[in-house]
Amino acid sequence: MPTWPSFLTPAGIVDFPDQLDKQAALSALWSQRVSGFTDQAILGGPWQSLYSANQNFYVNPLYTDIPTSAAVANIQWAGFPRRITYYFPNYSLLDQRSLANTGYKIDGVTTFGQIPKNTCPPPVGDSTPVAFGPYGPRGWQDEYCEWSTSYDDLSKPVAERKVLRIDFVCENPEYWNSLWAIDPQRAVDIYNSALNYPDGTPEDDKNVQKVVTLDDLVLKDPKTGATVIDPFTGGPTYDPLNKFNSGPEADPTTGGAMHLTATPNTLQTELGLAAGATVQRQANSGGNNTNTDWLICCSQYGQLHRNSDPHIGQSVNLVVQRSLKVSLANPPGLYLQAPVWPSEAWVKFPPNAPAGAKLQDYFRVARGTEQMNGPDGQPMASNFYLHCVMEVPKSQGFCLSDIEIMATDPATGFGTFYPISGGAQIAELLKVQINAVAFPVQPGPQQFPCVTTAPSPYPPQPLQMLYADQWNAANATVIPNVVNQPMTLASNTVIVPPRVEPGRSVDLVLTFNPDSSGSTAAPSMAFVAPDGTISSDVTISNVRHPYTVTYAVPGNSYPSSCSAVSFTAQVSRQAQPAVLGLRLTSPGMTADPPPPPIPAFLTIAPLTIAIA
Amino acid sequence: MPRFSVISAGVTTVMAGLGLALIAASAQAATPTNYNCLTAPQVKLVDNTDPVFASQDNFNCFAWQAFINLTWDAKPGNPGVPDASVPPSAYGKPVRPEERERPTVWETFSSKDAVFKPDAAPPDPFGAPPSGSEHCRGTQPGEVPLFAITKLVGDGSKGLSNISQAGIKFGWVTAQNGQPTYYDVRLNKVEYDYIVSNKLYDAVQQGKLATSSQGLLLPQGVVEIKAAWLEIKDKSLWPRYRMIRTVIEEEDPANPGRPKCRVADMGLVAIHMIHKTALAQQFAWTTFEQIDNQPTFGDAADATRHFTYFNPGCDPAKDPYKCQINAAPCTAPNDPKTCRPLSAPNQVEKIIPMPPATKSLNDDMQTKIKAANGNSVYQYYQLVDTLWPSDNTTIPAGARTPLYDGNPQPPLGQGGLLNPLIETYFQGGDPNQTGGNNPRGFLSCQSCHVLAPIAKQPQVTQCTVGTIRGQSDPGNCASDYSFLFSNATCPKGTDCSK
Repeated sequence: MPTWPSFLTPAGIVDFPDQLDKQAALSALWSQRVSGFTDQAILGGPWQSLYSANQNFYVNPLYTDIPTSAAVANIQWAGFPRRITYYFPNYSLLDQRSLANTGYKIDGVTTFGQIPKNTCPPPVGDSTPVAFGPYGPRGWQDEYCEWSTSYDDLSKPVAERKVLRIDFVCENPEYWNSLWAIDPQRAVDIYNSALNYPDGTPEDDKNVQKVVTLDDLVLKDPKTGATVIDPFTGGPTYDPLNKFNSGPEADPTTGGAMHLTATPNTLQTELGLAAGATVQRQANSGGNNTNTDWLICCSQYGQLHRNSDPHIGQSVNLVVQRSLKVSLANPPGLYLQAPVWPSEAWVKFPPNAPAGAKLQDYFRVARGTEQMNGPDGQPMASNFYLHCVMEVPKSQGFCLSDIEIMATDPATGFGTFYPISGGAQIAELLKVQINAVAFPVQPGPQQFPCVTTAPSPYPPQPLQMLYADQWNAANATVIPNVVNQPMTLASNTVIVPPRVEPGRSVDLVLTFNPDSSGSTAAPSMAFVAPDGTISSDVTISNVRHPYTVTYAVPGNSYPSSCSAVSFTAQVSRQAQPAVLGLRLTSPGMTADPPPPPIPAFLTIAPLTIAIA
Repeated sequence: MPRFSVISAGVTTVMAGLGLALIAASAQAATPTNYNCLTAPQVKLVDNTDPVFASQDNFNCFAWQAFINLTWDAKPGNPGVPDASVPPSAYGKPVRPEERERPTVWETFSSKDAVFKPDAAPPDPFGAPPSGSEHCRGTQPGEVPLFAITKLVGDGSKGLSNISQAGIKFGWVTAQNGQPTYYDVRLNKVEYDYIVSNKLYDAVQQGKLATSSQGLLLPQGVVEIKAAWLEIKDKSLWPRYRMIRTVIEEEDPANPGRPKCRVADMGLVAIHMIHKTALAQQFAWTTFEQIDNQPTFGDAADATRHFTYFNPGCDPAKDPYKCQINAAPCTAPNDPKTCRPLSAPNQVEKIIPMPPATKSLNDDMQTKIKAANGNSVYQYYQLVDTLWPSDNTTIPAGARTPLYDGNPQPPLGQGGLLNPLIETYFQGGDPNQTGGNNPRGFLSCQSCHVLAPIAKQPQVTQCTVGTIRGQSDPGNCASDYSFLFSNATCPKGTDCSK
């Protein structure tokens, strides 16, 4: 098999089995976007850093041959947010689980303590205390696995509630943005099916019934209350933190989990991490790649002390060390794995449970598939679950919180049975997995020093570009969080290229890091065609003066300051469909050679699927 | 049973043109049964210093390759070195114990008793055959022990180390044939050399090294072994076991204080092999077992199977343990009067189920071994699992206990890792039985080994470097996760009690 014809949708899911034109449009859009993420990941960060660019041991399989003999490497980690146990080792087991479930200890009042601002290099690089994050309605669930617990009555204290259902998700927000872009109503339909019950479920088995409407999922301008319109589709814009995909708790009227929401939990970030981790580091930089902490600090990807990032990065690095090039296996994505269940000796069911009841009897897959084949045509050692549910059918007369699972009571050191109080006990068993393909090449990878800031002068760094109306609404929408940090919905948007039809103009906002001079003027902007030339199809006008914003650029764990500039892009009528890059240079400067453009920042495309 | 059904993707036709075919989702969620290693273990000697990268499957494949390398015949006259001239077709050849075939690689490692001797005496040369005890030196030709003499002497307060499991007093486990299980601890040449070159058989030297800028930090390549042996008199079972002939000291009720010595043919029933590697600085804890040892709790009963440590027809009215699963010998842990007879068989079950991928790897390896040598005894062994550090971390010099555990996998919630014949009672039992003093709970290798200290010192000796967040006060000096070091003694005349 030479190159891949496309990137498949996550788990190969088909959300338009009845409308092949829409499925084709979604598949094409998705593949195009993943290809863009991949190119961005390979390029890395060439603007303001050294030794983190041109990460070409990560490849784009749409134009790099992947041999059918390529090995598949499975990289797996636990879904429970490990930074909670790392940073708060002296909290009780129940408090740690409660923090993971709700953001509060079991007292329902005390939230996370503060942590050092930066632990690179370990153990403490910058001990300035900061609030524990990521911030957001369930931002601390930062292992690419989030869950929402449905209770009988959210007004009761947590300890008195019944746990009716738990939804675990690892679906990336970029896919949901893409699905919505094709058909918002289909997204609504899937919310209703996934957050409720499979077809044919008897009424008396349903614990929680949600009714999700289009209006529940659309982004509204907080100042006017008006729906934000997508200038390309003419339809409403998706709100990724809508009321049915927000927070750790749910009841029939609010809350739920449909896809990932923590700011670092994006597929684009995942690809960036994987590509960044391919770079081999010089051991004389003070460590080696068997040390996860050193490697993550040296290469500056991800967060220390997660189950995920340090482990993913090191695994990729070690594979590449063997002169192997890598990419994520098709379909690229993050996948939940069926838990390896604990011994039946460690699970207690209530007396009215069916004889022989097992935990796994109450676990089901709402979205995703059991298995898929790898490059060699054989099944990969992976499940491809996107959304899993734990729930006891109502007719059985008991609920999840009537089931007890053993854990060690830290006070006695002995095993004690604890009722299921939320998703944390299952997240301890639930693994998330990515699958990488790897194939040998010669010569092998070079070694580089650790990533460091580029010497001045360096150019501006592009971060994200969105439709202006979307940005303005998201940036003005305050997102509450348990640690009361200032956050806006802008942090939950996704980095995908805005689409513009030929002959149309669109108002955009670009966020960027200013150049080394710290200039407050707008950078020079040019859209770059796939052949590397400046595109004559896009004209930039109405460039306003930049302003400072603070938000977590999607993929980042914590907010930081950057600049935002708004402008208008006019696309010529003759323009052919293309995915363009964006080059930024310092205001009024002509760099030679010019800074590399960031790939896939604007798409010129005809509108093929109209949204009423 | 639940009446929910899985929503299947059901998209095969649409995907068919995209180069990758989907397998339709099955009706129940299940972990993949196939394991995935970038380097699959082989039935031959293969360099095996570390897994390709850190994952459960890759560590499990590393474990199997290590098992094969370490159970290969040793090169005569070269303890710890495999004989590369032995072909795979001879791997695990069953032998009659009295034939005294040459030992395997790990069996030529030094016994802990040959390294940590009384009065801080220097160790025997690496791999030197055990000399035996004062009671068993005069063995007859053909009865020379291949291994350190195991002991069962005393009143239960001492001398039980060879049949007692770690971390539990009077923690023996007796098979259905009425014989106790014997434990044998060994270490490889890398560790032996480190101990000898730093004189760490002397407790005082441990204290000096642990508090120095160098620290007591084991080098990569260290291997420690803990093997469990059972006397097997039924010769029809021998083709399923690695058999050795050894000599056992037993208490002689007729002559208190004068143990008797007898020859016994022992079968290997379980073995820990732990490895310190670059990717496992918190150690890779691998453990294997003979496949007939015990059933797994919750599995459907199979009346046709014979288990070495489990009686499917156990009668509570007649059984001293009342057929309680994994019940410890003594109902009061510190009172030998509450112990059941040593000859009373324990009813052992494996509590932590074997993950499907491990099962799949075991099936593959057993097939490969059988293909190499259809008579190999090692086709009747299986990997229980491997515990490995997903946050592999270099330990600094001067570290105190408890050490950082490296975020071991499998997680405790899943059960961690225990060998049913080496940590029988830490497994816990059947929650529906009253288990006496049976400690049920989540324990794993690292639950205890993070606490491993250096040996007792002439004066209070503490280390100040914490490896766990918030650990700022001094504490016992750590011995890099190895309890072997606490066996060191002090020179004659030096009081080491602190």
